Amino acid sequence: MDAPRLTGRHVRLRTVFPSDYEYLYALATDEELGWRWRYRGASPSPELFQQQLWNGVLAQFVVEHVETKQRVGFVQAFDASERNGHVHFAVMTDPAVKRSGWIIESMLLFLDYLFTVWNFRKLYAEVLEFNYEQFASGAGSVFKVEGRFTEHEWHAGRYWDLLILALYREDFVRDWHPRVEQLVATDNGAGR
Amino acid sequence: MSTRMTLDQFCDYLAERLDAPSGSLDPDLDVRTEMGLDSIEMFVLVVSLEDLDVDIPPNLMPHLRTIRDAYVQYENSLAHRRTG
Repeated sequence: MDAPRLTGRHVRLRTVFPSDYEYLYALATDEELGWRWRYRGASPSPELFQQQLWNGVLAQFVVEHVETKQRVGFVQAFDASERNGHVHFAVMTDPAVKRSGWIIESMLLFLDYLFTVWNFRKLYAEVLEFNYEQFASGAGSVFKVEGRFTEHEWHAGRYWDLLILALYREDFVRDWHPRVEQLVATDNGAGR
Repeated sequence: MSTRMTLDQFCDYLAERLDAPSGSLDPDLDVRTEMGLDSIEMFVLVVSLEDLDVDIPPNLMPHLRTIRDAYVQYENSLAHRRTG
């Protein structure tokens, strides 16, 4: 494999700075996004949010637009088990750019980064049933549904299943690493 | 790709990129609500258009409802390049 890529065609994954905390707090508690994310609509204090932002984290990046530097999301890898060869990851999209496709580009960059830098066998993501349809085309090619907690979480009047998705190294390297190179290639650095 | 594609050729090009059978994409169906393209497939669609040098600004994305809409953007891009 080649060196890990943090800059794609439209977005870049960059370091989280303290100056980003307010933006990330706003994302995590956003009216449209907050109930899908970690706090499930609850309101942590800014202080608690900052503390928990780094708990159990292996790597995390702010996603920004390459040209405008607009922040458009957040990616995080956490609860790593290097002994067992797996880690969890999560992706959060700024609602302002939810139809742009950039979050998929950032997710692919991030997954490629995790498999390149560490010797993980598999990456896990937890997805609530009503969010799964956004990625369902990847089932069997990008990821496998390895687990399901039936009627696990309450939202909007009913209980929903929680799906455990697994991405295997060999599948990603074989099927998606070449596509990452193709999908996120810039015009010899000229960008788009 | 310098030769202008017909709509059918354009649909076949996108079908290949989306791993769909040739001739299976209806250009007038809403790609999200009727064809059911999810986020991954929408990303592949946008990148496929960009590989044809079709620029899709973020503010245009919500209005890109059908493959025919995308084809119009493709033709506009070709016309723009011809007029310089």
